[in-house]
Amino acid sequence: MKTLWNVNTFISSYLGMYVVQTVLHSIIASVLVDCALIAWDMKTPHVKQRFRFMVILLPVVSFPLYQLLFPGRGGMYFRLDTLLDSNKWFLLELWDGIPVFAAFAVILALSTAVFVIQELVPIAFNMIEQIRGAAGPAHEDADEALTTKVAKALEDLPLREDAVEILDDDDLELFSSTGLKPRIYVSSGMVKSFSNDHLQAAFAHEIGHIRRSRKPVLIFAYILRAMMFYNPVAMIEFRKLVDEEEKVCDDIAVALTGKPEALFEAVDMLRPESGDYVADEGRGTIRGLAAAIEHHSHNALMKSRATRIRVGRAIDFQWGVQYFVTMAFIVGINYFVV
Amino acid sequence: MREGKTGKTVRGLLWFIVMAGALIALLAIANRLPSPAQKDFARRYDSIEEAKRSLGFENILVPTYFPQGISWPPSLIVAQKKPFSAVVMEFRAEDAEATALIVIQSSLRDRGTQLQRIRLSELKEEIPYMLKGRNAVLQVGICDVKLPCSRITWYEGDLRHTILLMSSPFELIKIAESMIR
Repeated sequence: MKTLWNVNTFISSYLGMYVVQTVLHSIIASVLVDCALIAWDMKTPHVKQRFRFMVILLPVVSFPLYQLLFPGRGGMYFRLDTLLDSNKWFLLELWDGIPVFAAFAVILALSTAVFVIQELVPIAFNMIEQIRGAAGPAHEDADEALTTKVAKALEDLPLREDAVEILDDDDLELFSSTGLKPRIYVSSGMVKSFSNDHLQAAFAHEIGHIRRSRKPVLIFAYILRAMMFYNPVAMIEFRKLVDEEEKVCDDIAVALTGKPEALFEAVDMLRPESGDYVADEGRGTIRGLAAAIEHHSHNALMKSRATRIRVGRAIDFQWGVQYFVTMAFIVGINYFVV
Repeated sequence: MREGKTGKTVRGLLWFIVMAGALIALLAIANRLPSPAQKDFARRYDSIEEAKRSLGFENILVPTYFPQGISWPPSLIVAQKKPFSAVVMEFRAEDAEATALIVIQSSLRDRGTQLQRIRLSELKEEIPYMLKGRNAVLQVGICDVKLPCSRITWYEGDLRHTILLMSSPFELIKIAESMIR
C-alpha cells in the first residue's frame, strides 16, 4: 500500500520521529506538570508559569538531545523493550489501509491551521497596518475631564501621566505596549464607566505587564511554541502560560494599590456580558465556533481571576525541589516514549 | 514551621510518585494493547525459520561460513515488517558473552543507525569492494565497544545487507560471500 509505505518512511525518518515525539512528550510533560501542581498544591501563578514553561521547552530540545547522547534510541532494539512505541498505534490500519497516523496528521494539520489563522495572520495584518501608518490610536482631543480622571488614577502609581493614551472608543478597552517607550492605552468608554479606584487597579495591572516585559519569558515561550506550530499541546500550554501571566499581573496590581476589592470589581466589570456575544453570528461556521470558544475562554479566565483576587493569593515558599523532581520525571519517562 | 514545610514537600513527593507511577502503568498498558493486532512489529524470535514463517519473509540470507570461534545458532534474532522490513541476527564468540558478529537485512535505506546495536565509531579505512558482482562498501575501524571491527554493506534488490564483525575484513568477506549463491 503506497500510503502506508509513505507513512512508514516518514515515521522512521528523523523529522518524522521528531514531530511524533515532540507531541507525545508534550502530552506526558503536561500530565506530569498537572500532577506536580496537584501533588504539591501549588497555586502561585509565577510558580505555575515556570512549571508550564517546561511543557513547552523540554519537548523542543529533548528529542535531539536524546538522539545525540544515545543514537540507538528509537531504533529497533530500543523499541523492543521500551515503555511506549507509538508506531504500534500509528500503523494500526483503520480501514482500507488508512493508518491511525492519518488521524494524528489531521490533528496536527488543524493545530497548524489554528496557529496560522489565530496567530500569524493577525500579526501580519498588524504589521502591515503599522507600516501603512494606519494605527493612530490616540484620541488627540481627549476630554479634559477624562485626562484629569486618568491623572488622578495614576497619582500613586509608578507611571508618568503621558505614558497613558486615551482611545476614542465607547467599549471597555485596556492594553499596553512594551519596549523602550511603554504605553498604556485605555478607551474613553472605560475611563467614563470606571471609578477612580477601578481605573487605578486596572492601570496597576498594566504596569505589571510593562514590568514583566523586562523579563520576556513569554516571548521566549512564544518562539518555542511557534517552532512547534503543529503541536496542539504546546498551543494549549501557551494559553495557560498567558492566563497565568494575567494572574501574576493581578498580584502586582494588588501589591501596588493595596486594593484587591477594587481590582476584583474592575476585573468583574471587564467580564463579557452574555449579550456581548451574539450566538447566531456566524453560527455553524468555523469562524463562529472560534468566536464562541474565544468568548467562553475569555469569560472563564476573567471569572477565575476575579475569584482568585477575592479569595486571596496563595504563596508557595518552596518550589525548587518540586521543579527539579518534576523535570527529572519528565526527562526520564519521555526517554522511553518513542 | 520548617518541619511543616518539609512534611508538605515529602507528602507531595509521595503523591507525585503515585501519580507518575499510574502514568507509567498507563503507558505500559497502551504499549501492549495493539500487540495482538500488530504482529509485524519488532520482536525476538527463537529461530530464523520462525521469523520467516511469522512475517512471511522468503529471502533471508544466512551465512554458511563462520570463522572459527563464532557459534551457530544466533544468540539473538530480531525481526519486523513494520514500519520497515528488517532482520537482525547476532552471534556470540564461543568463549565469550560478547557479540562478535551482526548480520542485518533491511529495507530502510538510511545509515542504519536504527538497526545497529554496535556501531563502527571510528572509521580508519573505507574502500569499494566487488562482492560476487555486487557493489559493496568495505569499512575498517574501531567499534563503540572499543574493539577493532570491520563492516561490509551492499544492496540485493530493495534490501540493504550489512555485516559487522569484531575482527579483520578477511573473515568478513568470506562470511559475506557465503551468503550469496
